[in-house]
Amino acid sequence: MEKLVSLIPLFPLIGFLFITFFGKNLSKNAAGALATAMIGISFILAIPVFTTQLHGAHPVMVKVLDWIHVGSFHVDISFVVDPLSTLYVLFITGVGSLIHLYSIGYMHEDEGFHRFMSYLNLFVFFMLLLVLGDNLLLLFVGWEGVGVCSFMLIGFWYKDHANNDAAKKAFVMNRVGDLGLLLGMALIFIQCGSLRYEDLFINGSGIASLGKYTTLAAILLFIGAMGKSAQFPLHTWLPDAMAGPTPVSALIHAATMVTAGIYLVARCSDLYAMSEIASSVVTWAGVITAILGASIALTQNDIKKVLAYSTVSQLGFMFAALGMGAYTIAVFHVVTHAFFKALLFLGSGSVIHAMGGEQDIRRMGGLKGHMKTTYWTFLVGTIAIAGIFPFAGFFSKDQILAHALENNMPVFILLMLAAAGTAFYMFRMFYLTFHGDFRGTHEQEHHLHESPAVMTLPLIVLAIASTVGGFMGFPHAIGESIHFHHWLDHFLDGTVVLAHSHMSAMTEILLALVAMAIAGGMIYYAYTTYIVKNTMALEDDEIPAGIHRLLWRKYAFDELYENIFRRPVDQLSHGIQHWIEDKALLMMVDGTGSAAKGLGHWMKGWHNGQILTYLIAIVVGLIAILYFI
Amino acid sequence: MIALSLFILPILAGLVMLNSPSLSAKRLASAIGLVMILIVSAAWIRSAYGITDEFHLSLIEKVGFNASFLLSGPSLAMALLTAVAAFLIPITAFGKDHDSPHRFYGWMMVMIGAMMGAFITTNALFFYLCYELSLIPIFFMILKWGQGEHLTKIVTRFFLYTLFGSLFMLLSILYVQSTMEVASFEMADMIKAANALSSAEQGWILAGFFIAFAVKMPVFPFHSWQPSTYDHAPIQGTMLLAAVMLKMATFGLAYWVLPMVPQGIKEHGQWAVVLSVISVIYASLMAINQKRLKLLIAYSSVAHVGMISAGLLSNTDQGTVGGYFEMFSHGLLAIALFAVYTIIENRVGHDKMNEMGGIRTSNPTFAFLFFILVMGSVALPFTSGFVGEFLLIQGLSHISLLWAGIAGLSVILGAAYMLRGFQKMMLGNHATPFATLSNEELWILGGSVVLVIILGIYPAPLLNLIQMTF
Repeated sequence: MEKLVSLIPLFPLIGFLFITFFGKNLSKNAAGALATAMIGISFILAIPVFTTQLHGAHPVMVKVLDWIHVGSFHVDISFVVDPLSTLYVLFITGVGSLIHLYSIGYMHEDEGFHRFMSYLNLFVFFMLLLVLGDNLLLLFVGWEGVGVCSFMLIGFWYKDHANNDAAKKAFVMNRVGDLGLLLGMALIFIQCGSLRYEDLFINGSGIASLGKYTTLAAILLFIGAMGKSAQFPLHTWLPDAMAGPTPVSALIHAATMVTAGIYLVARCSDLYAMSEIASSVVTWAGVITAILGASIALTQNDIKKVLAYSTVSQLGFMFAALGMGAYTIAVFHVVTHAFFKALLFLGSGSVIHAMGGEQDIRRMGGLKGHMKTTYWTFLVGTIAIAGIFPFAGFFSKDQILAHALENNMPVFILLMLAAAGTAFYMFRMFYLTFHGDFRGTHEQEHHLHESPAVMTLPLIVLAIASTVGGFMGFPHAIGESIHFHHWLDHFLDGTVVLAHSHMSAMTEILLALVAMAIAGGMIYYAYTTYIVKNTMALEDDEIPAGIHRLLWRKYAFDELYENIFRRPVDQLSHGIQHWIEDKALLMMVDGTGSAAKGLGHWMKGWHNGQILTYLIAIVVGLIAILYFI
Repeated sequence: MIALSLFILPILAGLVMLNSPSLSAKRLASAIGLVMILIVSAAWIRSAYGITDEFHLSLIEKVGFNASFLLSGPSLAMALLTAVAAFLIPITAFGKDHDSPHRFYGWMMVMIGAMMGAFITTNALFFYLCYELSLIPIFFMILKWGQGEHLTKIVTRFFLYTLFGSLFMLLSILYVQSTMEVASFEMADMIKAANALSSAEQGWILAGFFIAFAVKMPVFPFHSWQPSTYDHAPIQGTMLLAAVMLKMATFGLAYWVLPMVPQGIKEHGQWAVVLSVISVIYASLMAINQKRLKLLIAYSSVAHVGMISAGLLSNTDQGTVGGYFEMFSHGLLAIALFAVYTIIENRVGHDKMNEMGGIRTSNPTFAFLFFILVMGSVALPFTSGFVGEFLLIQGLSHISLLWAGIAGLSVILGAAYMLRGFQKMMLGNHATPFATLSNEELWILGGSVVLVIILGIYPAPLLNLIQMTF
């Protein structure tokens, strides 16, 4: 059964190649259906592979092709079937096929429709390589591959250079992280002699040979994770990435690619468990990012930007969990987040679709009456991310908070704060978008409509998943008597390091109630502000100086990086060109140059086509030298 | 005889072509390239059965100057690259022809022969001779078919600079030879003699070789001849320089210097590593502000070569094999990227990146192929560029993780300058008109793209070939 695994990435690849080379003959619907079907087939194949792991099968490696064999360095294109990889495959292909389906509707009027579907397929291919590879180098292949797809899809509407700039920024910033990952791999190979998970983590512990380099290796890998998962200080590319079409934001920049960093750290949990320093770096990068993202989201008015900063913040939650050793909880949050954040992005896409491309929530309002399905499913997503029982986000977020309470009080307080902010900014956006009076143009109001079924069906499925998806990680206290009790923990046992909780059921329930009360309070606050008092979000030029404006300007990170990286590098480049390349070096050479000039004229006269002359000259010269010695 | 034919065939063909204006020189040159590819393939297949092709002819017995050829793994890999270049480069004229093409391609074949000789010989003096001999044809190619002001000055600078640099290599070779009881330039004897020297002496020998190679590759600060030469040479000459000629230097480093003076590299070779690493960063920084495509490619080439040099000097399996692999990959990409330049120049009339845009709209196929080549150049996994570059960084990490990290900055800078160039020319709203690709253009670009991807996904055959002597 495990052998099926090599077919899983194959179908998206076939989809990409087929649409790229033969797509011209396909209608839009056919191309869309083909692309969706390819991911659907992968999903269906993934189910039996996943179930083999349910019953505690051992990890299986399935080799496809010899890849790089140099001296003692051996890496193959080979897949690993274990709980962590199959869980990821399942939700990538599951959420992925829904988003493909949705795209058929969303992108239908776009002239680049075929291109779009083929890129999505290629993306899923690389994403699957990333999680299925049985070694770090193959992970890196997927890692960079999804980066390129992300580049192509952010800049999908390439005629506008603003999109291209966003795409380039994403790629280059990711490469900062990639360099860390690359060096981390080099270090691990030099110390441990392998990059295969089997050698490093599964059989024995090759990773222990890192010795004094353990922390360094863990931090280098984490730099890679920071790039891909948009963690402070490498977070600024993700909000810009919203320049891509909305399904891209849902699939790549919310549900799957940006969680690759969590996958990497969870996959290497043995490594992180050995280094306290690296773990606290991970925790604090996560906590800072969680607060940063949530606080910026409070002030944003672009519906996708709010969701983007929310993603940044939620990823911060996951890293905070990873850093505190709660690897399974982080993975749990990855999965629930994939459900509700994909749902929210697709919902926002449906709104944008209805609004004729408008993304500013200050120009929306009262959409509730015009698009019922979008409204209700979006509400589910909003409640889920706000952390209200029994929706999916509640379980995973609550467990992260519980773990923080038990291990690290400052982290707990800060995450609590971020969670409170989350509830507020989400409902602020929700109320401004769907409630109140419509604030757009008449033309837009006339155009308002519910999206077609290909778009609403994925919303409904994801809404269901966001509702019940939390039960797979039922918390200790409530789930004691239920079959689902710590199912995920057991499932991932042996693949990632488990965290042990000694929290009493009473504390856990109390914490859940407090967290929910705070979330409820924030929702109520948003309600009174935006519904009861009917306050409106400020126009850009009305935003007062001070903290509000600073948040609205995203803490001015873009300007900062512009001034401390991009501009100095450009200046350095021009300075070197002017002073060294064009002046110093040429002066050095041309000092002898005047002599050379005369010689050059003399030699030009030699050009008579008699090659024998030159050959003889060289040979004679050489022989003369030799005999002289 | 197979080994000898690889050397003799292009030289003879070149001599004939130089004197036969009536021949259709372009096709003939390409055809000979194809024959050479077949010969190399034959040798490759024979090597799989354990047959090593050798040739030995004593030229000046007294000093040990022989025409000895041996088709070892690395030699075959480089011979293949040379043959592929001989096959592809004439095609990249894309229907245009030079003045007196028989002379142009005649010189080119002589140069190919000389470079082939350098790659397959096991006699140090013969290597030196070929290394120098290859300068003469390219000198005339640039002088006669190049363009721009100050051409003579630029060509002369290039010629004298590299000629002067090589003298240090000759000194190193002669020094090693002088320590032998029985004079010989054969590789086995050279290695034995050099290994017996003290590490300080080895350090000096390394210095002699490295200065010669640093000029040719080039490595900062010896590179100042390169951008202007690349710029003013006829584009096919530039391809020859970038794809094959500079590989004689990196090849010489890997094939001759590493086995000869391992101790010298280890104890007295740090400065060479440092120069190579500086070169990577320096060239990347220069590439960032280039306004013209040709110079962008030229500087990015310096950056890649610096990486090869640094990785090789780690003297590890990964560094050496990665070095050879990257030589091959870089050669292929250099031809393809300069072909991209030619195609753009032919249609737009210039290569100023700021003054074009939106070509993707006018010609999506071209933009697609160019994009994959860009990805190869920035060493994306599953392209040939990645296999080489990863192994080189891995090798360099053995010396120092810090230097690997500094050289690795090119991973970031490379993405920045290549994507910036791609974006300016290919993307955006203003669509520069761009005619459909001709069949020749499509085949050159498509063929290179396929090779770049195949070598990235299934590098095993080439890696195994390179390691045949290990």
